[in-house]
Amino acid sequence: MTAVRDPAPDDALAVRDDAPRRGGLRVARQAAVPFAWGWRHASIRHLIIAVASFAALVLVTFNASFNTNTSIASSACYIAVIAGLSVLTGVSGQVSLGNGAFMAIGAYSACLWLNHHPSQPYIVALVVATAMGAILGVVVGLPATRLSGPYLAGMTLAFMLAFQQALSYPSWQNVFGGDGGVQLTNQPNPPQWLINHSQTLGVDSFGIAQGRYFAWVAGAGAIVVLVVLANLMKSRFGRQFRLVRDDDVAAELMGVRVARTRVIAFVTSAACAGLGGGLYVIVQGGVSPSPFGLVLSISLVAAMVIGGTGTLAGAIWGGIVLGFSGEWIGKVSSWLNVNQGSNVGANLEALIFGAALLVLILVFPGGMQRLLQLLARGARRAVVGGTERMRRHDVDAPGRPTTG
Amino acid sequence: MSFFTSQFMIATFDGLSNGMIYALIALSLVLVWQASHVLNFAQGAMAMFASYITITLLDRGLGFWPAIVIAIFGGFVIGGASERVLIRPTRGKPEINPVVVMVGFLTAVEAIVPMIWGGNPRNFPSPFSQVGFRFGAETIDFSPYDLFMVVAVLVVAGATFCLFKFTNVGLKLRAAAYAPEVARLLGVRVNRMLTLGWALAGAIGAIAGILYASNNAAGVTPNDMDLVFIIGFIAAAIGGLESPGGAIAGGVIIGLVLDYVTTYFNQAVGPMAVVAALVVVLMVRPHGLFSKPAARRV
Repeated sequence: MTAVRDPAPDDALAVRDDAPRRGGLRVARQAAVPFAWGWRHASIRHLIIAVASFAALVLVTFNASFNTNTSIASSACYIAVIAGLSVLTGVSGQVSLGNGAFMAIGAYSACLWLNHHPSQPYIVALVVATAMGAILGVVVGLPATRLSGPYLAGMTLAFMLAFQQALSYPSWQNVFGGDGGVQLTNQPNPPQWLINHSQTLGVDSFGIAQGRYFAWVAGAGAIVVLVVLANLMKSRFGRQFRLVRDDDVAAELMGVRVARTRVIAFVTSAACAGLGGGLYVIVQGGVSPSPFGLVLSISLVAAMVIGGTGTLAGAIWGGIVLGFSGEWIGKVSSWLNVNQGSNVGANLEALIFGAALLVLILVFPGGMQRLLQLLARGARRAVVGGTERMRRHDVDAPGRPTTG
Repeated sequence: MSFFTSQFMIATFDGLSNGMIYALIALSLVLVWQASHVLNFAQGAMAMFASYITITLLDRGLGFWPAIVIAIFGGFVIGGASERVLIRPTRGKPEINPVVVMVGFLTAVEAIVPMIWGGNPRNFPSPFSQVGFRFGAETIDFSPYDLFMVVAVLVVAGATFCLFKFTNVGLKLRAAAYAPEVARLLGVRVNRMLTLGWALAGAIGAIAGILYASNNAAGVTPNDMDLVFIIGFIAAAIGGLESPGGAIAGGVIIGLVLDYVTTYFNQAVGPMAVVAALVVVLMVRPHGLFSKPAARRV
């Protein structure tokens, strides 16, 4: 029955811990004992994966176009937000439609901090953005602990709407800039060596270097979020989140403070969204209220479900889908070759987005991460073959659900 | 200037007539929630679709009343069809999946409507005068059309109440929502009842869309219903998603709160007041004002 509520039993970065060891892998590990020792410890393993993914990201950005690097950077911002949302929704069982607002407060506070303290490194602004997201998370999360399901969704939705209004409130225009928003006066520059390196390519080396650099900054931010969350899920808090989601009465009887756990989950997700917003403003170079409305909040939830709710790897897929959707949908609609000036052409991208969302959820209800897990399992069975091997798989892993 | 033309009464009348539209949207959300425990995010878009159907029918020279009857039937069909095609495949899947499917549907509908009808505001006729009633020398801010809205909403709410309370179909609908397994064993076609619940919600949403459109002198645009949907959803949460009567009350409460706040403070404070109202209500009663306290077996 748990398989119905929770298609992915554990977050994908961490699930390998209890996975059965394959024969070939065991031999390889004996040859590399120190590495294996590290691999068995979740936090060290997460660190290894993080460093490897950052190296891969750097390699990718050197071989990608400026547009792709920009999409990578915005994907990374979304990954940070969606990972937090995924912990909240998939692991602790609460649905928030207000994470767009937490992203907005992160973006505004990072932007204002950088404008007022131009000499400080921008990482301070990112810390401020995260902290502001967390503080707002406490404010919203405290009343939200009493609520569940649609009531929580309604409250966060209303809060998001009011927050967007507050940002464009006329009396506070000298702080938040009204509808026009705030521009970042000193957008971080890429390091000189990167500009020099990009110069060999010829055209607009600064722009190319900037595209790469922002992809690194945002990517590093997203990776930090993923590592922290992966470790959190392995910790006492992670186990408490899952227990509260599955049965809050049992959790209470076991001495878990349910309300406090819910607030912690909420604040975690808000802090991640705050950091995502801070990264967003560094990449975009400015912030205004209009992108942080209903569309963003529900797109974040939709991307989370497309990726695979409750898994950190799913958050990565969801962020990539959201960050690249503009580019991909633009390609599809230009391939369809409809007059952009007509009523049909002007709304084609929205139609493709909506239809794709609908079809993806209907066809892959567990999201992309679940699909990949099923494909991997099928491939493993096809390669290993034989019923004897499959029987051993079942004996090896008593805790793992074998059906979707 | 008497009491009936005072600023307070203008706000009250305005709030009442706007609240009627929120109440209908809230009622349709409650029906869908009762049927299949799904938040229908596309309710606003479906309502908007119905009012655009009415516009086309009126352009073709049909009379106002036949046109809205056909549009309401169209809403009924769209509601039922979306349950069959979009919601039923997500049953047994994570709870959030149907919500995201309806978000996809919402995005698609809001793209299709301007594809067919264009994005510019379209005028929508009003069946009754929008000029306020006159009492002697004074004109109050309550027109025959406002009266029609109130009556229409009360009729719809009353009809829904009677349907659920006094008819065989209503009993089956309640049984299917309350205990699907038992209802199925007793011979209720549960799936059919869920489709019917969505279809009824679609029809009520269509009425809301038409009332909203003819209340809007500036004409309607494809995204108009987004805000109405959100406020309607908040109204439903205030009233309690288990309670149709609560939806109506919640709609009226929200309509009045919004109008008082915009009258006495300013426009931008409106959403904040709505949030404050929602938080206060949910802090006192976490499942809305009118829902029965649910006992839970541990």
